[in-house]
Amino acid sequence: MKKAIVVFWFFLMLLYGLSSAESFNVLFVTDVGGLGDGNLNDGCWLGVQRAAKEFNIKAKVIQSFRQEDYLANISDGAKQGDIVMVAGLLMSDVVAKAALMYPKSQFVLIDALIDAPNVKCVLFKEEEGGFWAGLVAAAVTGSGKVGYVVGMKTSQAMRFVFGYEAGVRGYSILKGKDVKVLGAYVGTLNDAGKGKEVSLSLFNQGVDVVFQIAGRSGSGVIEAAKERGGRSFVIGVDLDPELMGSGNVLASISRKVDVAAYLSLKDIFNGGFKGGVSRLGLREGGFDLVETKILRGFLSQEDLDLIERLKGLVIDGVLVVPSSEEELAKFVPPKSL
Amino acid sequence: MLEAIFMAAIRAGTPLLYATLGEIFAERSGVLNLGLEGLMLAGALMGFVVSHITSSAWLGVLGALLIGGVLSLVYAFLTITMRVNQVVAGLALTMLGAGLSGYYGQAFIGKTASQFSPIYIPFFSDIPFIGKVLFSHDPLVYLSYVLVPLSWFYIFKTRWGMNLRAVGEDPKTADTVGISVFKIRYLYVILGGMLTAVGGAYLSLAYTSMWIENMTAGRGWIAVALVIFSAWNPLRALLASYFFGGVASLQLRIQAMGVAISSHLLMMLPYALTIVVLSLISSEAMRKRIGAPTALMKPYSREERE
Repeated sequence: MKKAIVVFWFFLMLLYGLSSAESFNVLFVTDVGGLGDGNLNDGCWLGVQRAAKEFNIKAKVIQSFRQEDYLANISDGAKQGDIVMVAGLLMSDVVAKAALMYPKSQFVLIDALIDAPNVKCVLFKEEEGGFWAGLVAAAVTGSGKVGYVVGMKTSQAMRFVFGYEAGVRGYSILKGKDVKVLGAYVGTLNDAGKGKEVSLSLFNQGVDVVFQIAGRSGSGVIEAAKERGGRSFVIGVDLDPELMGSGNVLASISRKVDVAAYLSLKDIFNGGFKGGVSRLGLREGGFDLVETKILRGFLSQEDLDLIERLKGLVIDGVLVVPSSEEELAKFVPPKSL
Repeated sequence: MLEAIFMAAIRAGTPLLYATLGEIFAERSGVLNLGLEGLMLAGALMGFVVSHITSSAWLGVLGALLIGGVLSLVYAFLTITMRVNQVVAGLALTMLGAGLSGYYGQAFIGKTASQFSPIYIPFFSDIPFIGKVLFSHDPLVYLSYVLVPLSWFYIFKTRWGMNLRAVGEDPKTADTVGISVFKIRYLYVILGGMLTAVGGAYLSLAYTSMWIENMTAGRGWIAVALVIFSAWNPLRALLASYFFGGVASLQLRIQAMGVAISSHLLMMLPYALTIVVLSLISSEAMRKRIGAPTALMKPYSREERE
């Protein structure tokens, strides 16, 4: 009888081993936002599920209900899963700790950066998202002045800005249009009052499109545009649908977290796990332009074609979007296509 | 251009003004309330929520008054009756206000509420320059125009104001002549909290029309400094508030014009000024020189003798 159990057990293990030999399993640990946040967690889970279907990966989600649970949940993930997937800056400290505690486990961290050999970080080429926004802004402006409002001067936000300026320059040189860029910094991510004040002064100087990378201070930018009415428009980054619909918003550049999650798993499936950093840009489909109805009225088919062709240059690697002030100073867009 | 800067100074200065006025009343009675930031946040959220539900911005202000009153009643009980250290209790109130408003406010992020809009006043609004600068605002700004001289008159020219100052200067003597120190301190701490909360509601109902977690962004602390800056005088509080509001919005404007000064330096301005003022006040000698209420921060007890 005992023998039978051992044999049966052995068999079971063998079966299990065979079935999982083809692929691996992934555990996705959410932050307190949890599934249904309509944001980072949902996006990431979407990408994981897509990869799971395509590559025959087993995927499971562990939801964190309190911040204190982060480390415990990620540790659980490290014990149970081959790959632990985590998203967001808020989780990065915990992932760094877990990566040290479980040096043999493998982690994927989306949209945050830590330096550990067993962590694969997936970031975005913000400059390319900003570039897209700049193309749109330059196409829409009637006054020849566009602006940007930054909440906190982080390197991420600044890459958006450098790309934006490059986009404006690229489009306007092709069109022979003269477009100036003015910008300002709020200094915090939650002061809508200041965000509004600074945008009003931009609009007062004739700026008619403002690109805002200002977190919740950005709500003030949108309110300023709404209050001024007429040709005062806003382009945002990762805007909530509610803000999108609140009037005078042209579009939002959204970072495709689902694509990031999907591609990272695809890489692992094809070539095994490798730690390090990868950054997604236009070529990888790392960004999307979510439009409102207002934008359509301002772009002719010719404008749209031009935007697509300039984006195409970036995708083909012909045009490199600047990600620093020095690169921006040296950036020379094509004079004709 | 100049017109726009002055207008912005008033807009940005008004929430500071309400909070500063409130704190002047509390401090004149001898109670330091460092919880302004928390009170403003609570007022901002409450004002927004009530206005969201009732579609009346004025009811929103009423809601702010109420929450400001309730929270400062708790603060008054702690510091006046229980004689808790005022700095500690004030910090606690700030954290309480920030925490509560952050928690209950989550459901109201991205919602809209009825807001105050600028009102045109016949004749006054037509005066060139001044009309535009002073009389193109919302009702809460006009209300503050009235409150400032009224407060000044009340504090310095009436019997009640004298009682208030007496309690802040020398509570023992005031007690001896039959003024109830406790009653007066309770009264003005609560009144102060209510005014401060209206300053918060200004942010969510007039300056912008939205609720955002921590939307006061340090204005409560600036108001604490402004009280000292204004030497506990409502008229000077008006100037100080507008000056600070002006500095804050001027730096944004300078940036927007594309002047090449580091934005970090410009953004620092109001806060650097706050630190300087607060450091000055921390010395006892300095406090006396600029006329701080002598009994400020000293809990009163009838049994205690010095």
